[in-house]
Amino acid sequence: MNIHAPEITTANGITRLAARVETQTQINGLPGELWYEFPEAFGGMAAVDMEAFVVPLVPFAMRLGEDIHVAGEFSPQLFYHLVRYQQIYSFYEPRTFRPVQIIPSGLRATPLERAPGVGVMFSGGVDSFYTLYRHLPERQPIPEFRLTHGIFLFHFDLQGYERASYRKASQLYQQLFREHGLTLIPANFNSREFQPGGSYSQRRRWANKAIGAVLAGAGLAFGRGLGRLLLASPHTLEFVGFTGSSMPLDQSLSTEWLEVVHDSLVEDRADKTIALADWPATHDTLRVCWWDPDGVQNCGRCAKCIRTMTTLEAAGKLDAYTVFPKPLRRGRILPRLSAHSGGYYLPGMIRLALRNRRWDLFILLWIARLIGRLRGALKRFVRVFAPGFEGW
Amino acid sequence: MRIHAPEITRTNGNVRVSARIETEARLPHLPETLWYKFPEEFEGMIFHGLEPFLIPLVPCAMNIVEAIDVPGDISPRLLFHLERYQQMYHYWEPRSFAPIPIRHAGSRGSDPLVNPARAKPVGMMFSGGVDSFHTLHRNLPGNQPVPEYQITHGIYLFGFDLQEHERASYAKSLARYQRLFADLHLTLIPLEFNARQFWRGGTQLENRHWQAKTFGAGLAGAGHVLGGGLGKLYMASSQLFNHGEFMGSEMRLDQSLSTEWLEIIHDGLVEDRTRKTVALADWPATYDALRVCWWNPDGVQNCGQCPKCVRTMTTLEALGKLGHYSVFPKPYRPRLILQRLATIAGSAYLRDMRAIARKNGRWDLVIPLWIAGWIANIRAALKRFARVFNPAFEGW
Repeated sequence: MNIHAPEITTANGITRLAARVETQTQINGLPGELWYEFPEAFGGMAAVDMEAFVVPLVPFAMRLGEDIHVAGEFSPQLFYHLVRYQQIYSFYEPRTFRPVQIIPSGLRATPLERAPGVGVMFSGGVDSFYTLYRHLPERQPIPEFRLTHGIFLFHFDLQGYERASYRKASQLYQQLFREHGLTLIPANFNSREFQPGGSYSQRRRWANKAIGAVLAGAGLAFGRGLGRLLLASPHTLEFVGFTGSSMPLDQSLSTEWLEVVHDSLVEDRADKTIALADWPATHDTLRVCWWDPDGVQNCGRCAKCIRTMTTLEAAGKLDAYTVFPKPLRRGRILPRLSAHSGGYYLPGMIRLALRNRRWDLFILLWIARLIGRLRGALKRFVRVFAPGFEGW
Repeated sequence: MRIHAPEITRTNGNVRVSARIETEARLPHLPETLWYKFPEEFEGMIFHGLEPFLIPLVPCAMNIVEAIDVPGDISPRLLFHLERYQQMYHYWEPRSFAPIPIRHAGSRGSDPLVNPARAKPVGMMFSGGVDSFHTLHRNLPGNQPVPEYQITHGIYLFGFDLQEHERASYAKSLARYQRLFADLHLTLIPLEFNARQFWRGGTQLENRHWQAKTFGAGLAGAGHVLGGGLGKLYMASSQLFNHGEFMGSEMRLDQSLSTEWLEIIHDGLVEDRTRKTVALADWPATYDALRVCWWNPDGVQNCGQCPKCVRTMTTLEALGKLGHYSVFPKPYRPRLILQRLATIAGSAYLRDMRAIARKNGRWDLVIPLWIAGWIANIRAALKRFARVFNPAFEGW
């Protein structure tokens, strides 16, 4: 894989940072360049450096088994830690991710200067809202870690055909950030298109495996304005499975001038949801839906919506939210939350329902957990005979 | 808990950096000062700040639930991450570790040490064991391709695994390791400290558990005291990064103890002890220097009886390399496997050792390793069962 020197251009009020990418492996539909676009007003924060282009492509290059040739100087810290980063990928999935060499034209003798800005990758979901909430200037006691910026990405969870939905959400979030004295940068990128292809479920799994790399890459693209970047943790410390965003992985993507911080390690999704319920700003802005969001309006039918709505209902807070259709239909809890993959979130919700004596929800959640476990056991059993099995 | 301003004194060619510590809780065995002592020639590396005193005391303060008062500035990065550090301790053992506030005069945003352009030496905490030898080997100037991460200094601690009655043994091993580091064109710094004495007190078993839960903070503190001369500090991992159990040194904890001027690197994330031993067996420098013993080492000579010795010897024997090592008593007796390794703690290593023995056709080792694994599994099951009735159960 060759990553050419990035170029910065500005046209129609949009700044575009792009680098040509060549792979030896021929894959249909692979973009010829990796790019980031954002309003011209933030052009001064743009880092025309290799790091923002190498980081998001590392999992993909490992998947292809291609060394990365980098047409520029590279951060020694990142260069060192990318070896460890790859070791972790390869440790979990040795057949999918093979360690590759990163071959820059040289290592930077003098690192860039750290900028004072502190950014958060913001999606409007529970995790990123919680990180925003904890590090608002009025709540974070350490000045060097108080948020100044958020980055809201198009083509991260929302696809090209959801542009109208992105615009609506982006306007609302920019206003929210302004009210707190912060700046939200709406940015567009195509890092997620660098993937080996396959079925919908394979592509979704790939997206999860590379999630930290693409987010950190987008943050590094603003390395002239940000000195710290907070990535909201989707899991607690207890989670030992493989996911593309974890503390050991994300923090390995720091450079001398931009520290990537994997934020909130010990709070599970239910804890975070409840904490946010006391922040009125989330009542008409929380956007958790991955099926069919309309701006910040959630569909109320998908697993993420049902999970969040059930948590809020268990805490007696759902009525305060205007972004969910109401009422919560109990009949949707079992079909949506009994998937094996969703079982990780249930214990926190069950504890909450128990604490608030919501026996109706407690029983449904408990049954959902039981079904999820059975599905998991069956899946493991079936995989012995059909190793590629992905059902249930 | 109050940490007073540090003082520097010089006696007999040594420099001692110490700070008086006051606690509200009356704990008679607790030392009045936390101190570090090392040869005067390294005085230029002293970091004149409070971080070396704050870090090792955090677990103790959390345990006795006392806020820490620090009479000066603290690194903002460290302050931020210490909150997370405490969250992790509290998450794993909420009854033993309560989050406590750290009250400080200010944060040192404009400290002259915060200068990333200044290339500084790279240190490592060295004990002579498998983990630290592995980290040393990987990051020697000849093996580590990134110059900024090549080791220049080692720090060899007294008061860490070796106690006062083992001073003669420490002196012998120090002489050996200083020669080794000199041969590698590196510098080994002997450093004494008393950070490990800061704990609530209790039985020997409780002490052992406490030390296992807090040793990362002690090591990092000792590294920070020389942080005026170091830019990076390696701490060798003692377990895989996804190890499920709580230990006082793991990646997430150790790297939270970095500052803007000293990056702490938890090294060796994906190699377990057996793989590290295999890698070291090809490095002749370890043949007369590897010191793994925790029972009764004499300089770099290992007792050959304790579980750590038996584990290392078995791996080396399975590889056909034990004969090269002059630091283990011989001949090797496979029956030691059943006597020493059939424990829950030792079971983590047995599978890899068995694989190596099988690969090398050492069936005389495979069978006892397999039996030891089964005994360990039965012990673990019994322990889980016993804990249902007595949650504090620690036997077997």
